[in-house]
Amino acid sequence: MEKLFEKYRKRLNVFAIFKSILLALAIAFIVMGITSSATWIAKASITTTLSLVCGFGGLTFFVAIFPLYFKQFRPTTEEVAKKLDALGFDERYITMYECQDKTSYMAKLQREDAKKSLSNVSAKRLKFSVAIPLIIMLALSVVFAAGTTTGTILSASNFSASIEDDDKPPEDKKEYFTVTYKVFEEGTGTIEGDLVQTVEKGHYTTSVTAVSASGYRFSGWVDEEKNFLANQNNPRAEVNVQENMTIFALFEEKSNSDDDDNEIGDGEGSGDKDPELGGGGEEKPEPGESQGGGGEGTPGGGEGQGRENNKVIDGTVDYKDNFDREKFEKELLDKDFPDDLKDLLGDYYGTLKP
Amino acid sequence: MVNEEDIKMFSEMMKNIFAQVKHDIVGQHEVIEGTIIAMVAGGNVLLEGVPGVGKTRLVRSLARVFDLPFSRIQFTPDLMPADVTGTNIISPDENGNSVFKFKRGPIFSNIILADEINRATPKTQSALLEAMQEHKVTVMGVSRQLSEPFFVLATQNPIEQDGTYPLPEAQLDRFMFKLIVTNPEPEELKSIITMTQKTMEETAEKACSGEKLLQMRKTANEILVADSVLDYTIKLCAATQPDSKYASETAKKYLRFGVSPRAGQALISSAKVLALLNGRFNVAYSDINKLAYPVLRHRIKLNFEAISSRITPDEIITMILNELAGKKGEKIEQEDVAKVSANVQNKKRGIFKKNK
Repeated sequence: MEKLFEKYRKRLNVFAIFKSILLALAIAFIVMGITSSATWIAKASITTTLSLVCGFGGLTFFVAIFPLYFKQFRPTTEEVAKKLDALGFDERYITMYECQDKTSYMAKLQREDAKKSLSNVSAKRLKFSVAIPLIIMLALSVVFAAGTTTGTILSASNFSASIEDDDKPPEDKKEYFTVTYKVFEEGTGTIEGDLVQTVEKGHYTTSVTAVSASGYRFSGWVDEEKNFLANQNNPRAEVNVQENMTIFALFEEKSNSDDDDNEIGDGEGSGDKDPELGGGGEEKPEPGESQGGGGEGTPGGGEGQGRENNKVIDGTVDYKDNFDREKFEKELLDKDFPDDLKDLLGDYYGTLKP
Repeated sequence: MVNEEDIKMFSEMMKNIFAQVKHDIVGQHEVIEGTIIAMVAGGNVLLEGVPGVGKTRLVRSLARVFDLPFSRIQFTPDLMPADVTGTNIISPDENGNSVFKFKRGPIFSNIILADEINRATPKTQSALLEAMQEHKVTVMGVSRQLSEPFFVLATQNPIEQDGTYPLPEAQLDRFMFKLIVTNPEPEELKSIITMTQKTMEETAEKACSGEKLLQMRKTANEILVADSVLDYTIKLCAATQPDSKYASETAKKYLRFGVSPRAGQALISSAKVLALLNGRFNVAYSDINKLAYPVLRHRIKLNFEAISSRITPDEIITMILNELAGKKGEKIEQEDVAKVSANVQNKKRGIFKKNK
């Protein structure tokens, strides 16, 4: 009987191998999908993800294909007989298989009849067919594996993360700016403090102090084009930083009339006005340059025109000599300011006259 | 043990029997085939058809072909059981004394034509029960064996139901086949008229004998049945039983009762004969499917829903076979029933024609 069915068994074996491959692929794809999901949860890198997905998928495929073939799809003699009967042989072969041990004359006739019927039957009449559930399972597993793997790789490459960031409101972003303090002309003075500071947007720098060299006096804080800034306090700090900034300390040679060395421009000067420096004390601050307390004039003016440190705090209130330290401290403590701002303001007011 | 001679003899006998019966019966090939299969398998046959379609002629012709003693019992409402089985009568013995002597009834024959069986009372109908199943008759406590082969070929008219007594299930179950004899096709009718103008007598000649028939039965019994085919037959029978856990959806919906184990026996016995008749030495699913109609149609009891929907037993059998074949759930609605009925009527007449 084995010999009789040999060529049909070979063909069915090919079908069985093919079906085993399809089912093993389906299982492997499912494993790949699960693996990629796991790597996504573990936030693995792309290389790790691909390695694990391909490794587990391939391993599953090769592990699954053999049991599938030998236990599930490999055709037994009985199955070969049933397949042949399905070609329209009226259960001749399953009967032949089941009654192969019978020795009656009828059984002998039945076997001969079956063999005779099979003599001209080509193996090609056995057609390959795959169960629809298997095809559906394979398709779904491919989609699952491809989807999860693609998602994991995109996630690992921060693609997804950047999309998420774009979706966040702008205030959630952390931006940092660099504030650089420089001396406008080397040798004319120095700046004490951190000259280059990286500050989060909206936050404050630590204060720096311009100290003039011998024979020079501090003229003011200017930008690259030598325009005086609104805030001319010395020491100075930048509050509510919104951009990268470079601030220069400008020093000028002392004239003969400069008897008093007021490094911070306390208004003890002769009162000579330098038109370029905008002396006169009535200049309005440049828009956008107000950094919390810009002055109304240029330092270095004569008495009555120069700036006194205790004159201006917020640009509008003139404390002059009426600065009440106790009141100020009480108010300052009552305000809901960040600690670094309180420190800064404390430093600032520490320079004011009592 | 069956040998080559028996196989050859079976084949030749069958060929001769069909040839001779066709001398008297025009058309009705499947009815003839079904009757002969039942006779070879040792079953009784219920022939249902309107008057004049050749039921009685078929039985008479078969009696001639098999060269067997033949009795015709015309069933009427006043027919008594003793008229069928025979009875003890007082008669003088050799010494002149009166003694009871058993007078054999017409049942003591090999081929019984129970004509219009549904016209007799249930009491008389039941007189046949023992004879049909056990091939013996018990009268006044004495059992008498009937000679083999023994067949009851009964006829009934499906139209005139006045004054009839529907056969009880126990009686119906003893018929291996219920065959539907239909009106002949026009061409067949032409041949019938031409043939009967010469003579109304049956002209079939002896083609077999009782002994040979028994030998043919023995030969057919040797036909092989694969387990899977046997399982299929059992599933089919179980599928007709609405209370069974193997019940088909169709049976649950349309049947009150399914078939008895006799149906399974009848299916296998007759399928073996059909297989050998077709030159095969094993039973196939197709044999079972083909014989499901004559074997099951009188054994299933339809429920009210089926009757009110005018669904026939043959349609129910088709639905059950479809369910078993995996073509699930044919929920036949009224319009579908009409289509099925139309298809049934268009099919070729014969025993496997769907019951109307």
